[in-house]
Amino acid sequence: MRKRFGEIEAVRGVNFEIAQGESYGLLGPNGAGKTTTISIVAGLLAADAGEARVEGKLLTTKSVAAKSAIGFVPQDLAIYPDLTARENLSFFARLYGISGKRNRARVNEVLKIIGLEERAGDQAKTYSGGMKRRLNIGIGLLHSPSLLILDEPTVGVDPQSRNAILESVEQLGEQGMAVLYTTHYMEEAERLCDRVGIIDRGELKAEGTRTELVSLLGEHDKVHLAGSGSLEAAAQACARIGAVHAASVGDGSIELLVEGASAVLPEILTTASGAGVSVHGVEVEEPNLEAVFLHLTGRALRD
Amino acid sequence: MRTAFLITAKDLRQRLRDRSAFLVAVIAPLALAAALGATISGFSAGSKAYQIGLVNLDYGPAASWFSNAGEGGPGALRDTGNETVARSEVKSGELDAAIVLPPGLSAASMGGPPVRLDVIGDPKNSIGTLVARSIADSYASYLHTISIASRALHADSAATIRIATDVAAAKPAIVVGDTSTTRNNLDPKTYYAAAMAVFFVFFAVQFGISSLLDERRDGTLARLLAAPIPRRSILGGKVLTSLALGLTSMTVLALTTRFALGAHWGNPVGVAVLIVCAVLAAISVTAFVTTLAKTHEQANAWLSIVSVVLGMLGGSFFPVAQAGGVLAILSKGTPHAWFLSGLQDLSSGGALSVIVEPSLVLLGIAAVCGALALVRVRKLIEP
Repeated sequence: MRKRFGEIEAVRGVNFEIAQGESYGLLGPNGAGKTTTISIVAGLLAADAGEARVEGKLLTTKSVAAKSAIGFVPQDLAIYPDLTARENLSFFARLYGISGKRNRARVNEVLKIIGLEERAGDQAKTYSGGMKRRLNIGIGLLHSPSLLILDEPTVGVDPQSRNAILESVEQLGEQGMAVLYTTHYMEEAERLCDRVGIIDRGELKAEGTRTELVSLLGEHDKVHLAGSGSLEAAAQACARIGAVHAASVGDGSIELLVEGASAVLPEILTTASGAGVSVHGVEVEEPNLEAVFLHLTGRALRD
Repeated sequence: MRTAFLITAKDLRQRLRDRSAFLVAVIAPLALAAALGATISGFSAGSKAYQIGLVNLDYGPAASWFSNAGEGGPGALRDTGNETVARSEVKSGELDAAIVLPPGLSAASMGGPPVRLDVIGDPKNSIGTLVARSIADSYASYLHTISIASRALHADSAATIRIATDVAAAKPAIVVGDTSTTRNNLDPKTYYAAAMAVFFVFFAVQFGISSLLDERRDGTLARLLAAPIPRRSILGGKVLTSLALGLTSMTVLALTTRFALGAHWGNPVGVAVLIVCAVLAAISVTAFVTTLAKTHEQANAWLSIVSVVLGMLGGSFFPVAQAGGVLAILSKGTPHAWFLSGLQDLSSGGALSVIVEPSLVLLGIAAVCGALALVRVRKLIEP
């Protein structure tokens, strides 16, 4: 897909697929093109080139049938503050063709899912920020879509509500719903998404599972051994282990760069003890998507 | 269409809940119509009969003009007997003013020495004094005519008296017809009820179309656009909201002022047609102005300016068109003026055909502005 706004090409050849029941994350900093991409996928914007298909149906700004398969949760709160949660849900459910008894039943179900049953009759403007966020997500779930698109749903949310939102999204994935999730929080992408697409300046730089992305870069685990004794001798002994690529001594610790740390950790500990070091603590730091993003784009996610 | 109705129902629920529409569409116009109508009625309700006294110190034939109740004369004035009584009654307010016919007035009209005709007035009753002054001026002119005729004929006194008597008794050769437009004028209560109704309908319909900008600001437009509904349904829903609010506002105003304030709107069918046409024109003008704005705040400011300017030019506060010139021409370009014009013709008992022209003009304004709005509205229904 490609999309240009005047002189700025916001999306430059982004291409990805999401399987049924899969959670796909678009990870990138602000201005990377995430919102434009999902606006095209949600049928809000027309692509200048390329196409989006949902359940095989071509998605355009006018394609009513394809839109029925999509649930959309915008980045900003998109609720009517002077309507109650029940009225908000009921209105949007009707737009998706859910009326009558089905409407009432489904609204009650969603109210339960988002934990707003007790406040269902209160106007949304009286809710806390977290409650509004949950209602915002609930509207996207009303018609049990095949694909749920969430555009940075945790921006500006307190940690407690954020955790509740992430748990909800995890459950949706488990129920077989495909999820397209945009974020600039590395931890969210790692926690929620089966696969991640790293996007920057309108281009998809890489995609794959977390492991695939990390291995793509050849990054190694970092092992910190805190201890006392002959640290230099222990470091030299550990460096002779095949999976250890580098060893150095720090302030009361040994730092090792290791390939597959979990597999060789017992051997490392035995070697260090044999070299006369009394180990007090061990810390293993795996390479993360932040590092991958930095490596691919030359800048940090929060730049 | 079903989704358009859903959006309309949602919009109306919101508007009813925050009471803004009720205030703008019903309360404000009703209060202003009642206040303005009552105020103006105080000045112009009914016609006032001015009591002008007469002090006849001449006792000659020239005074007969005042006793002639026929055409051309002022009708009988109340003879107060003497000037002292007249002054006293003017001062007390029993008389609005008095005219003093001096001794020698008849002789003066027959070529004798000139005399002075006095008007006794009260400075606090300037209109009454002006009425008496006007009668005295007419009378002086009448006597002057007789004097000229008498001199031209070189008539003797007896002949002059006869001429004067004949002239006083004669019907005027030329009679100025009734130039009053009273029969086409709405009474103040009805005028301001209608004027406020059409003025505030421009504000009431804003809750529909311009709420697209609210939806965009609040993020809900994106949600509507992502829903499996045609974009025209969103637009249709907003137009229906405007239509419902506009029609409700004007209908409530018409009924309330009819039964509570005694306004006379005229033939209900004709009034209904005019109301529908005015509401359509208001929706189209409002929609066009909204499409020119980029933000909700900008739209609100522009719509307020346009509504007030059109209302003032259209005669919602005072009949600007009567000033003539450019203002009269500009007034003809406003829906307000055409709505009030149609209503004036209708309330004077005219047939339904009298509203054809104003209705067509209102529909024309609706069509032109609506077409312009449609050309530009696409950008309003984009995320």
